[in-house]
Formats: sequence, C-alpha cells, structure tokens
Amino acid sequence: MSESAAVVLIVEDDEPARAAIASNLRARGHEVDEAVDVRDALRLWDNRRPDLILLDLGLPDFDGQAVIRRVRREANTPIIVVSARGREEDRVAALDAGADDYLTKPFGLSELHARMRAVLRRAAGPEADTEGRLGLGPVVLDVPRHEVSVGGIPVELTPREFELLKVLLSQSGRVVTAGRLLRAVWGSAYSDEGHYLHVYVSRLRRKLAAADPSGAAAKLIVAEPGVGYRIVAE
Amino acid sequence: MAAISLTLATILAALVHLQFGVPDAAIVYMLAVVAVGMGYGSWMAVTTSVASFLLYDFFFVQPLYTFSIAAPEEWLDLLLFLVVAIAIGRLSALQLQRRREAELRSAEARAMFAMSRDIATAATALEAAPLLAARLAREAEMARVWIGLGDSIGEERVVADTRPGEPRPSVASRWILHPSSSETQPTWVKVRESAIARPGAGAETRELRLRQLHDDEPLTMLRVPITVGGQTIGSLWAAREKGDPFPGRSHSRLIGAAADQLGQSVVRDRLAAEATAVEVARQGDALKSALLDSVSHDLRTPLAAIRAAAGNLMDPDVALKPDDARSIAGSIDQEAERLSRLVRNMLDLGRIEGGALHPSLELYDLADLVDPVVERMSPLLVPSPVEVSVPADLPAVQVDAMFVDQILTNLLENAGRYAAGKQIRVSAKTVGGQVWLIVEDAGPGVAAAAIPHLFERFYRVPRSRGSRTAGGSGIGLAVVKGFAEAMGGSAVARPSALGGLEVIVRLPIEYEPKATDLVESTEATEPSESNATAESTDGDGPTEPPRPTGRPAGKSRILMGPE
Repeated sequence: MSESAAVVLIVEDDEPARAAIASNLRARGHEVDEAVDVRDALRLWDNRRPDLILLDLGLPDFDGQAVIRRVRREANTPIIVVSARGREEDRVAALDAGADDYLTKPFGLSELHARMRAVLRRAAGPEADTEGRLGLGPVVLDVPRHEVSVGGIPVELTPREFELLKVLLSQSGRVVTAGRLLRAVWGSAYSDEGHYLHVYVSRLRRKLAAADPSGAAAKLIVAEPGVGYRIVAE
Repeated sequence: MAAISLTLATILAALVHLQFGVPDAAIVYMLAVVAVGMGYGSWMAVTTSVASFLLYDFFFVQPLYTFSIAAPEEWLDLLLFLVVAIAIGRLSALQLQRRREAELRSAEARAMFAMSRDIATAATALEAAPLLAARLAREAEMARVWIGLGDSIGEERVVADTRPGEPRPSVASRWILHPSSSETQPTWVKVRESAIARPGAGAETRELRLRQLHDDEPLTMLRVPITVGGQTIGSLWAAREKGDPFPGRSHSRLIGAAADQLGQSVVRDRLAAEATAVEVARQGDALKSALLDSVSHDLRTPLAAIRAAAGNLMDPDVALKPDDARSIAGSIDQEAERLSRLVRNMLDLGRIEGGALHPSLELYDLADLVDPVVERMSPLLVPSPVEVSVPADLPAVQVDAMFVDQILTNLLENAGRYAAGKQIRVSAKTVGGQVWLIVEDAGPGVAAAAIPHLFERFYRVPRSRGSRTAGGSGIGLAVVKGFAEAMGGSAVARPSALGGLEVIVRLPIEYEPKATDLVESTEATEPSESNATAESTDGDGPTEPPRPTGRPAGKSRILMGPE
C-alpha cells in the first residue's frame, strides 16, 4: 500500500490539481517540490535531484519534453508524464524521449500511487543478476545463454522473440513504445511496422502461456493501447 | 447549272414551238429562272433572267438568230418578260435564303438548348464547363475551346479544355466579343495583347485596342468575358485555325450565350453554397440546443451531488467520523467520474457530428482492449456480476484503441444502468470477416419499439412505469455507433437471450480470414519459420527480412518472413 518515502517533483501549472496531489503525497510521507513551468522545474531539478518526477506535458512556457531531455542527459530518474486526452501523440513522444510511464487526465489518486510504486520499484534495483539473468515471476531469461524458462521448463523462442522478451523484461514496469521495441528488435527501418510487433507479441504470449499452467506468465506482457507494451511486475 | 438549265429550256422551248405550234415559248424559260433562283440565290437568278431574255431573242424572235428585233410590239413583250423573270428569280432566291436561315436558326436553337441542358443537369459550374467547351468546339466549329475562371486574366484557372495537356497558344492579338452585343448583333473587337502576359491587375485596361486586322497570326483567338453583375469572373476562350472563316453571327451568338450561361451557373453555385452554409449553421444550432437540452440534467445531477458532499466536508459544525468523511469523498470521486465520462461523450459526439474523426487503426488482440475497460468499470457495475469471455484465438482486429475503449465504456455503463443487479456479459466471436464484440444484460430489456431508435442521438428510452432508473442522455449509444462506423464497422441492438438488451459492435479484421494462417503458425514448431535458413543461426544474419512496404497483404505474409 505505501511506497517508500521519496523526493517527488510535481510539475503542473494548474494550482488546485497540484496542491491536491502535493498534500496527498506529503501526507503519505514523501517530500514534495512543486514547479509551475519548465524553467521552475529545471531549477528545482538542479537544486535537489528528486527521486521521481510527475510531469504535466502542457506547460505555459516550454514543451514539457524539454524537461525529459534534460533529465535523461544527466540521470535515470523515473518520470511519469501526465497528458490530456486527445494528445496521445504527445505522450508517445514523451515515452520515446525517455519517460517511464504516463497518466491521462483526469486520473484518480489511486492510479497515481500504483504508477509511482511501479517506477520507484524499478529504479530501486537492476533486474539482471550477476549471471546476466533477468527474472520475473516464473519467467527467467538467461541473456548470455540465450535461454528462457518458465517455472524451470525451457521455452523455445526464436531469436526475435528472445530479443523482444529481453527488451521488455529489462524495462520491466516501464511502458515501452511500439516504435522503441521495433527499433530495438528489428532495427530502425522497421519503426513504423506495428503489425510486425503485434504478431510477435501474440506468439510470445502463447509460448509463455503454453509453458505455464498457472496462467501468470501469459499476463506478464500487457498492451498499452495506442502506445506500446509493458511487463507488469506485480 | 445555269447554262445547263438554259440549254434545256431552249431545247424545250424549241420543241414546244415547233412541234405543238405554241407561238410564245418564253414562259418555258421561267422554269429555268425559278429552278436556278431556288437553287443558287438571287444573283444567279438575275443572271439567268438576262440570259433567258437574250436567248429567247436570239432563237425565237424575228429575225431569227440575231439579237435585233423587227417588230416594235415584240420589244414590249420581251421587256415585260425580262422584268417578270427577274422578279420571279428574286422571289425564288428569297425562298432559298429563308430556308437556309431557318436551318441555321434551328441548328443554333438546338445547340443553345443542348447547352442549357448541359448547364442544368450538371451539379456545378465546374462540372458543366467541360461539357460546354466540348459542345461549343463542335457546334461553333472551333479548333479549341477552354474556360478559365478568375478575377483577371493573369489569375485565371483553367477549368475545362477540349485539348487538355497541350500548351495553350499565345498570340499577339485576339478578338473580344463586345459585352453588350451578345443578344443583338454580335461584334468582335480586336485587341492587341502587348500587356496580357503581365501579371497583376489592370492588364485588361492596358490592352491596346486596334480595329485593324493583322493577318500574321497562326490562329484566330477569341475571348468572351464571363461576367456576373458587371464583374468579370473569367473567360471563355476559343481558337480557330487561320484558314477557317471568322465566326458568323450564329456561332458568335452561341459563344456569347455559352459565356452568359456559364456566368449564371457560377452565380447559382454561389447561391447554393451560401444556402448550404446557412443550412449547416442552422443544423449546428439545432444540434447544440438539442445537446444542451439533453445533457443539462445529466450535467447538473453530478455537480449537485459533488457540491453537497464537499459542503458537508467543509462544514465546521459537522464532526465527521473518518470513515464517513472517506465515504463522502468517495461519492465526490464517483460523481466526478460520471461527469468526466459525460463530458468525454459530448466532446466525442461533437467530433463525430463535425466529421472530425480520424481513427488511427492498428492491430490489436481484442482481449487487450477489453480487459482494462472491464477492470476500470467494474466498481460501477456492482452489484451486477460481469462475465467476460473473449477467446484467445480471435483474429486480431484493426481498430482505434481509444474508440474501442470508449465504445465498451459506454456499453458497460448502459448495461449497468439497465441490468438492475442482474448479470452482464461481455463476449466476442468471429462472424464472417468481422469480429463481433457483444455486451448484453439480464435486465428487463428495452421495448421492441424502442430498439431501432437506440443509436439515434438524444434518443431516450421511454421510462417504464415504476422504473427507478433514469434514462441516459441519448449520447452514449450515438457515440458507439459513430465510432464503430468510423473504424469501418457497425453497431446493432437486439433482445438478448439473457433477457435484456444485446448490443453487437462489428469490428473489421485486418485481412481476409484465412483461418489456417494464424492457427498453424502459432504451433510450437512454427512451420512458417522452419523453412527459413536463418533459424539455427542468428536472425540478424544475411537473410534480413525484406522491409515490408505499406499495408501487409495478410497475416501470412508477415509470418512467412524469416525470423
């Protein structure tokens, strides 16, 4: 229920919304910095590197993407972007620029807490162990050996399927846009071929499901409609 | 011809004179005069008359075979004969002229009528222009006709050309049909085109008028300004080969009338466009007032609940237990969400009505889209149990994810409203080339008479007696239909086997269903990949798959690509 206490930077120009979120986060034991525009946000970022940034993309002075680019040059700090409905392309751009997750206005506080927990957990520790293995629930992916097993049972994956699962697992908890997945697995020439991705994700899911009678593995890869995919860690 | 008829007349007259002893055979020559007059016109008739006079004198008047006349009374006869011959010849010739004029007029009338029909049957002036140009080229015997619309010659945009693609001739001078002359006597005025190519206004005024004909041009260029209310809006251009005669009165009238009619047609278009704009505005107003009418109640209800709850929380005199405060805040949250859905639907309906929908279609597993919505909506559907059965082996649908989200949200909200605590079922199946997404409930259902109207905007199901549930705003299902259709699908409603209402949203599958493609390729052995040589080595080797271009023809193509 409660996430570990963190320093959170809220960048939002609408005062009532910002105040409500800030007071809620403070009440939950977080330290909160509040910024009303990009300039403000970058100043506070330099001042005290926060643990998490909640960034509204529609800001009065500059495009919120400027904050993402600047932060990503310097750190891996989790960023959750907030976008209005109807500006779906903004949030895909933000995720491509390095944001970790997104929320669509209007959202509930419980939704916010769930996203914050996920990205903070991810930031807390790397997923791969010393042997180069990525594991999540029953699924273990051995990077050097190119092997995948579910609950100890080996699963035959083609090289592309293996790459796809590797990219998703290594970004576990983050939303990975379709464009990023395509570029990472197929190469930059394929970044518009969403059809490819859909087919491979379907097959990957079926293979994982076939090896896992509990059904947990099949639910590992979750579609983010219009954006991409993510691995759900919980 | 005149010579032949005169020879024949002379022989005939001789026969009549010699065989039958008719003393005065002059009348026979009248036949020749009439024949020539009717066939060849006035001048030939007069010539024939004079020749008849001389021939008769030569052959039949004493002394024979000379032009001299013996008896003075014969002089009088002969002179009378000449006068009558000329008169009859002229009359016959007039007949011919009348007939020719009548033919010309009737051809002109036919052409005029055909042009009017072209204009009247075409939907717009732009549509009529090519027909008109082609007809004019044919009827007025023009080598080429084209029509340009624009405020000045430099700005003209060619909307019709009988020889499209060929460069339009540029000549140093052209003829303009005098504006006031198209009805009476058409007059062409020659203008020198020294200033024509110069862009900008005033080119027309700088045209140097020259009334003298220059014969060094390869073409005769004609221009008829198209005017509306005294303002030039374009030109009708016609070109004739040099060898052809200058257009006659009839052709000129035809060209003038074509320009006039085209002008009228443009005016008609403008009026129609204005009328349409007015109608659109009127419908827009009607839509807005119906929308306000319909949603004002639905907007106020949650607002009232929110204000009451917030007032309760703020009241310093009310000591609330923490649990009570939390439940009041919960109701604020719930009402705000209701409001949010309503506003979303209103905005979407506006986009649907305004034709501003641009679905971004992508391939999805329907379950990926259904599950999050059901999860999000389930707290609102309590106490109705919700059953979801979306088979895993459904073919992928090509849809806009946001649209499907909103469609299902609206259908679930509706089902929750009418299920009255009974079961709600969300299911999907493949039917023909479509995937059907079905939402149904076990509630009391909707009267059969209301079902055909359910998807009409602002339609509310008449409240049954004793029913506690408020009808919807009449927006939700209209949005469902609008979104489904925007994606190339459709939405229908019918009574459900569960007892309540069943709404079916038909969604397009991206490819022609080849059932074997998907089923076989998902086997663990992956037959489609086993024939790829790169399987055992690395997929990034030399056999990189060809980059798919555009829309894949079908799933099979993607699956066949080497890994």
